[in-house]
Amino acid sequence: MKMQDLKQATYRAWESVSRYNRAVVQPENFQREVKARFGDRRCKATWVKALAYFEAQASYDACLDAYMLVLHTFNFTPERWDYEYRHEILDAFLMMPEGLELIRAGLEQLFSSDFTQEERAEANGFFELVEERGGESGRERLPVGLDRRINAAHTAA
Amino acid sequence: MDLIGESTQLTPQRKRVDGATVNKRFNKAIKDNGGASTVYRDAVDAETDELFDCSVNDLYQATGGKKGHRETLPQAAQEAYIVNESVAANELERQIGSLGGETQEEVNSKIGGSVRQTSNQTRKWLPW
Repeated sequence: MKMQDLKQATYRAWESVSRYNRAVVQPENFQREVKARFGDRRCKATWVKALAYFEAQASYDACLDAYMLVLHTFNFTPERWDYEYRHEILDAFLMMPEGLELIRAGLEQLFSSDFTQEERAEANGFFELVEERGGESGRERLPVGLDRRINAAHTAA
Repeated sequence: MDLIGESTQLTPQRKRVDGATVNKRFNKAIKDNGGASTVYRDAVDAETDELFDCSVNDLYQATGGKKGHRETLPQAAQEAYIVNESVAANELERQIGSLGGETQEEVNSKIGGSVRQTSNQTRKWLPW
């Protein structure tokens, strides 16, 4: 993603977080907040970190049903605008106090009788993301039990 | 089955509708209107704002529910979501192909607007 697009996407995520928390959106605070939290605004890495953080926060704040995280929010597919930063976004979400617990709850809901096998298979982008993390060093993996369950589901799907 | 009706009519495969069924139809109606990525969380935020005058986090905190588990919300709140998502899905299904929008962001915004409008109407029927 080009720097300009990255900045715009970060602003949209930041704006969502403000909106979801019923805060008055003050665009002049955006640049200041990015600098204070993530550092040098001339570096692309700063903006990637900021985008991941605000996307994760927005996903958390508007989460009514945990299964939506698996079925939509983190169900990254190549045509999605945020596919390039899928690992960074999930990393940021897992850093949140209840992040892992919500993902776990989402999977439990998806594997309950509320969903059919066909509907579960629609979360393929999420299952692939988890599989990719298995092979990457330095990435936080999801707990082993969860990994196995996901892989089993993925194979069955 | 023949046309004369010699054979036994099969009972259609149906099941009792619950909140999960309604929520799935609501999400499908969003998708069928071309909605993608952030539209789902925007829709949830919009309906929560209109129905309860608060954010999703506030709703869970104020009612003692467990975040991400809709079944832990008070019955009245769950019912409000069911009613609203059912009506919003009807409206979105009616609007398929007519909402417009050039970019994905615009399409998402139109869908969010539709959900907000329906939720605003639903609120008038709620006792609070």
